[in-house]
Amino acid sequence: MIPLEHFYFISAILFALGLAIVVTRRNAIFVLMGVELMLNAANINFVAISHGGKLEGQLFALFVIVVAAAEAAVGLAIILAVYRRFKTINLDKVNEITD
Amino acid sequence: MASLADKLSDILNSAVNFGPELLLVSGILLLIVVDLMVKSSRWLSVVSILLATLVLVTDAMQWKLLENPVALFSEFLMLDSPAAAWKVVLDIGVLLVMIMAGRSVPLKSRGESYPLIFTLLLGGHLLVMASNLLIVYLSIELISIPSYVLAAFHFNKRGVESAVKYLLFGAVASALMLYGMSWIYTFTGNLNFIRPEFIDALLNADIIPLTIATVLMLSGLLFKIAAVPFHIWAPDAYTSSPTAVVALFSTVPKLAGFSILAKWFLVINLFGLSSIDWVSILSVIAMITLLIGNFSALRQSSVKRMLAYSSIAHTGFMMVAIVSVSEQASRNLFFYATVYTLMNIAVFTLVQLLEHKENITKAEEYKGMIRKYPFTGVLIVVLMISLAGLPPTGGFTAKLLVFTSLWEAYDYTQNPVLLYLFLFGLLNTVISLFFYLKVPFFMIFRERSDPQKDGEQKNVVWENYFVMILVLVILFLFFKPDSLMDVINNISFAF
Amino acid sequence: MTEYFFYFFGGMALLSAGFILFTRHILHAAFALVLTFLCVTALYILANAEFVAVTQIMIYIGGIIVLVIFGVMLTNEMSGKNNESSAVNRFTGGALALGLASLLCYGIMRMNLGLLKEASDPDQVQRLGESLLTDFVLPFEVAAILLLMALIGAAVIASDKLKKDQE
Repeated sequence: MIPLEHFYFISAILFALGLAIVVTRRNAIFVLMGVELMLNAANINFVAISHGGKLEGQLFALFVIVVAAAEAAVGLAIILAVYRRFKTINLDKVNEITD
Repeated sequence: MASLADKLSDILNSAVNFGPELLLVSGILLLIVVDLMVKSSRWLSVVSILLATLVLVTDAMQWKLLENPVALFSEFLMLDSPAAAWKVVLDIGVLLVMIMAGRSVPLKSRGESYPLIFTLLLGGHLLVMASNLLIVYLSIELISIPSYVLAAFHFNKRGVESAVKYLLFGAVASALMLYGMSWIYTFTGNLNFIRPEFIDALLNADIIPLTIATVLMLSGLLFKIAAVPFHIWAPDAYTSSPTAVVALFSTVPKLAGFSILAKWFLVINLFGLSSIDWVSILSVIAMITLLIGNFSALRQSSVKRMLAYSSIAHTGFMMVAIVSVSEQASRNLFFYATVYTLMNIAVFTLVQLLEHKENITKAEEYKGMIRKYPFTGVLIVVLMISLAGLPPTGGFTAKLLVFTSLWEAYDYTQNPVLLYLFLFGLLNTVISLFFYLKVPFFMIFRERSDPQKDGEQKNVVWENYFVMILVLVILFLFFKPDSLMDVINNISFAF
Repeated sequence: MTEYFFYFFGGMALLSAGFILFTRHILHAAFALVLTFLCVTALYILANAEFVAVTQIMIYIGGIIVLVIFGVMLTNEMSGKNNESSAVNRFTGGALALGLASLLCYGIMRMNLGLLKEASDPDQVQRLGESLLTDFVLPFEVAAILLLMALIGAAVIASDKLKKDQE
């Protein structure tokens, strides 16, 4: 029997790693990867917990996956548009808006 | 467990009360098809304004006919009178933006902008009615994803830069919120947050994980209303997006966020039973929001950027109503939101007009404009006075109401933080005068660089009349606030 | 037996996620992300959520990762020259992750969670499908609109022709 807590520990560490990637990385695609890790972490929680055999958690996880796909599609389209104009996706160098 | 037939008949019954949203969805699909078939943007514009009006009318009828709160779609949504009223305000906002978009070249040159804006409105509708965490998450995404795209609609360097920053920031905020939700679901075993079991379960949860989860959850909502520390995206997005889009961003998503925050605040505060003092925490956030909004606005030369910080400061003022936690405070928040929508969209309409005619964006460049555009100039002066919250405008009445409810809350609870917030808010109103009156100052007391020629008197266009109507409403709300307050008093904000 | 699988896949997921935090090469990071998602899929199966696991493979690994790798290739940043992360940055990243993870784990330890529900449900997929079209019909339709608009939005941005005068 696996204690539920261990699922939560793994998810918490995954979430922390995702947030650390988001905060420290300057490359836009890296940041997006970090966000995906954070979403996955939340999904592990939703899937692992089960209250009296209800499937709400699993359904929530399914919707999160759908939203993640939509967000990734729009996100990468915008990142490509940035790359075409700035020739870089380093967020420190994407700095046209000044004042 | 309900039988399949019961569930299906619940869906059909719910659809009856879901008219405005069904209309919106059909409208979105229609607009996509019209955009493919018709090349002229005029048609799209007309269809959009018609659709916005229709949605507004159906929502207003729904509000009028609504007697008791109705749960829709197996309690995913709760249609009560506050939700119906908020929907009407969101509809008004979108309708005004659609009219304003008549002069927005970037929006008109790409027909996809219209369905995107209506999708955003659909997200707002769902968010104000939401009574389920899943719908809260989905509708926040439904607001955000079109916003990311619309932020880039200038398709220049600055446009895509603001879009990518907005996107990454928004994605992180919603991921934080989602993780918070997963913990809250762990405590409660229930996604429906207005059920009593939900509150009971939260009361029994351990305080440390509960606090962590709530903080994470709040971050997503604070992002939507552009409160500190999740406000950083706003100035960039406001400066480099098309002006009509900025008018939209500063009203519809923000107000939808406020309506859900007001609901959520009662839940996390556990109706005053929580051992964490969320009122004080949110008051401090409101103070910092006011401070950063106003002081940063002082330093801005670009008018749009200044208005961006001003809208952050207005977020602070609206949070004042939330921390006052009372039914009257919710009503005052609603009043503030209505006035804020009108004046913000009105001022952005004029900013867009001058941007289009004169290609000016900086406050200094407004110098002497009152002689070239007397009508527009007077309207801008009135609107700036209203945004600053001086009489005789609706902006003053709204601020007065919000601070009255804050004072009452302080009187009742004797929480010193509320007193600091009160004094701080008044101080900030004074500070805000300096930047709000900067534009009128340049317009009136500085001479134009190019001397006036004859025959320049006819600078009156349809926007002037459009904004004039809004300004008259704003002035009317100062002299007769009861006309709106009476309507609002019929809304039962009791939870 | 399942315990060993659980700790193996969980450990792999964390190792590969940690690798993303520290690597310089973005394509390596993308492949590490595939590995992480596969391990997370295994965790879903161990938590008796087969349908979510299959969806995870189809959408995450089949869709999102492919998108990310396309993004990496089209932005031509595979060399990693433009995204060097300094030692200080890595240290902050590691410290931040460690601090946040310990805070969250402390919170979890106070949650009193109990054991994972063991029994697997043979008609789970049927029940999921039924829920999606009855109780969850509203989110289901909302997700449909969301995907449609994301598609349109992505197409608008991606199909934009770069005009010289706009620059």
